[in-house]
Amino acid sequence: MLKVCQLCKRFGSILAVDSLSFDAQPGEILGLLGPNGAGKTTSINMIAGLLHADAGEVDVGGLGSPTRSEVRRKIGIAPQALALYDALTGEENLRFFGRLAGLSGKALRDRVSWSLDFVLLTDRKHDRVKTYSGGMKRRINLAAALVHDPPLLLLDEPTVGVDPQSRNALFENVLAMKAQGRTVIYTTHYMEEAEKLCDRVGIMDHGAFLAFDTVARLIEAYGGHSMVTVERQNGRVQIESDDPLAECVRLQKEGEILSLRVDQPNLERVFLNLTGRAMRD
Amino acid sequence: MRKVVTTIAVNDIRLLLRDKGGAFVTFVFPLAYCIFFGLIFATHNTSPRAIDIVIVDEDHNQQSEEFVELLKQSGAVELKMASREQAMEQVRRGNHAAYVVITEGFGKASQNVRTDDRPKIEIGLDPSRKAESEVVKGLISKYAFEFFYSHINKRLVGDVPDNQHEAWSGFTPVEIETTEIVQTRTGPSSSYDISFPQGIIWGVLGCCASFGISLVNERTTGTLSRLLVAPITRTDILAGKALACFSSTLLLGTVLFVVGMVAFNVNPQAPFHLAISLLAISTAFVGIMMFISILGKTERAVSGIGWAVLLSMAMLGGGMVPRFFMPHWMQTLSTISPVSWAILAMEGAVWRGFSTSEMLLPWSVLAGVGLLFFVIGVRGFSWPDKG
Repeated sequence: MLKVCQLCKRFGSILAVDSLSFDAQPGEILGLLGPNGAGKTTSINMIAGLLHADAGEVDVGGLGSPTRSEVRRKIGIAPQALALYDALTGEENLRFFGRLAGLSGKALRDRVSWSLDFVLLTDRKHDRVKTYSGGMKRRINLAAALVHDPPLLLLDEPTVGVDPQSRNALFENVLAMKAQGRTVIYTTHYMEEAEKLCDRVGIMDHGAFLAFDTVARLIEAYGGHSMVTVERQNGRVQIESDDPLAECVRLQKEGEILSLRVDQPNLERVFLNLTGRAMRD
Repeated sequence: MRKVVTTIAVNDIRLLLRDKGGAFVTFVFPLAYCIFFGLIFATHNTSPRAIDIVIVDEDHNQQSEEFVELLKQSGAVELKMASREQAMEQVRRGNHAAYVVITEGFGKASQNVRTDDRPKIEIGLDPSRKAESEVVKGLISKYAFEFFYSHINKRLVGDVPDNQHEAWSGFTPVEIETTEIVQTRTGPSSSYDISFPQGIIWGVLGCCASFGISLVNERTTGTLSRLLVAPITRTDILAGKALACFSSTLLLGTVLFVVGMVAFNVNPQAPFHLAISLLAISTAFVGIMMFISILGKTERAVSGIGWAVLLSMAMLGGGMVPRFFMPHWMQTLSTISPVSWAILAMEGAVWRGFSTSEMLLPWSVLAGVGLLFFVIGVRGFSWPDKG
């Protein structure tokens, strides 16, 4: 569905995206994970045809570059900044963006209705967007990306600033889109989102992939060992282990344990191991 | 026209109407302006302090020049020399209240006292400016008498004691012939003929500012990025914005003129000319809207700088004070403001009685202004991907 080949973008002296290559299949959620300024949004903008690449190619569904308008019809984007008209109702926003995508008449009405249902905003469709909560705005932003039924969805930090309930609703939406056979490119810097949703994850820094694979393989390759933390009368000890269960048995035989905790390697550990612990902002 | 262009235009007009402040500035304020200033002009003398008249000297001698000098020194009139044809045209256009022709033989006749060979002065009057016309007739009679008195009487009897003035009582030393200029225009039928074009200009400026700011707002809120990702071209986007501004200004002008015609007896002499004028004005201010949108990076900057530019245009162009109240140098300077051409285009159709060939100048200027500013605006527009 999507092929990205040796994509490069430079802003002045800063190399924002450096030879990025990957592909994504229908029904796949592909995560782009990275610290602030890693090049995730710039990559998304190039894939959407919003930015021209200095070098490299993007091909959407075998149709060619998204700089062509007929190719962009296959793409839906939910930008990080809420790109909605506050003075219009949720339904009016969806109708407008649907019309721009070429929908009209019954097809438009059906798609608007479906999109509102999908993001659970049918009962608020006649309210102006400026009256929506942060979570509702994120959901209508997603609906605007979906209204013309695109096979490729670009979701740029779709859960920024929303409460746990709305975030959970958005997760369900994204998983439903995967089930519908859509390809989803999902940028985030929340590890649990990537771990929960993404089939494959590319960890980006300085515009390039540091690693790109399934979550399990990334953890296996870069997550390190499990960490066993044991607390006794005389203090607390942390031990790295390939076999935490055997380690726990051994520790129990050594004496009385006040508390015991096992931390499995996860994506956050992978991320920090690859990108370092230095602050980026 | 592509369907997406009208979709964008309709959306923009809807957004304008949803913005109560923008809608007020664009639609309500101009109507209030038309009515308010129409009432004010109606209760005040709209004539300038000194009456503009055109002098035609067909005698070209010392006496005729002295008479002109006498009129100049009076301070009651502002004079402009011209040929008879030019003078008639100036009065016909409404630029001057009257013309005065010092006929051939004026100088020679002024040396005589024979009543059958009196010096002759012709006055061409604009019948729609009755008050000024009467003043002009009175002034010419007065100064002609003074002129005659100082020349003839001195020549014949030397300095005459004051009690001898009575000897001239009842004698009219100069033959004054008045003509009403046969013309198509009748002048403004009421003060609303003046206040409605001015009020419409304020609505047009409001539209221009609102759409210029909204274009920047699209960029800062990110909706412009979403439009760019839609399967449409950049030309579609700008054409949609331009169409929204064009339609709104055209609608505004039409609605206000209809209100003026129905409720305030504004009666355009040339409705077809007026329609083209409104089209030309809309074209000009679409270009200016596009130019306004590149004057800053944020809504606040564009709003501040944009309104400063628009208010300057309005002040200079007669949008605040009618041009005929301005001194001559300022009237000349005001031609650099598109507002003055917009008002002239409307007045030309409403009450100045301009012919089609006379209307071509304001229409062309407005269309040219629109094209020039639109090109500058499009070239300078900052798309999200260009920073």
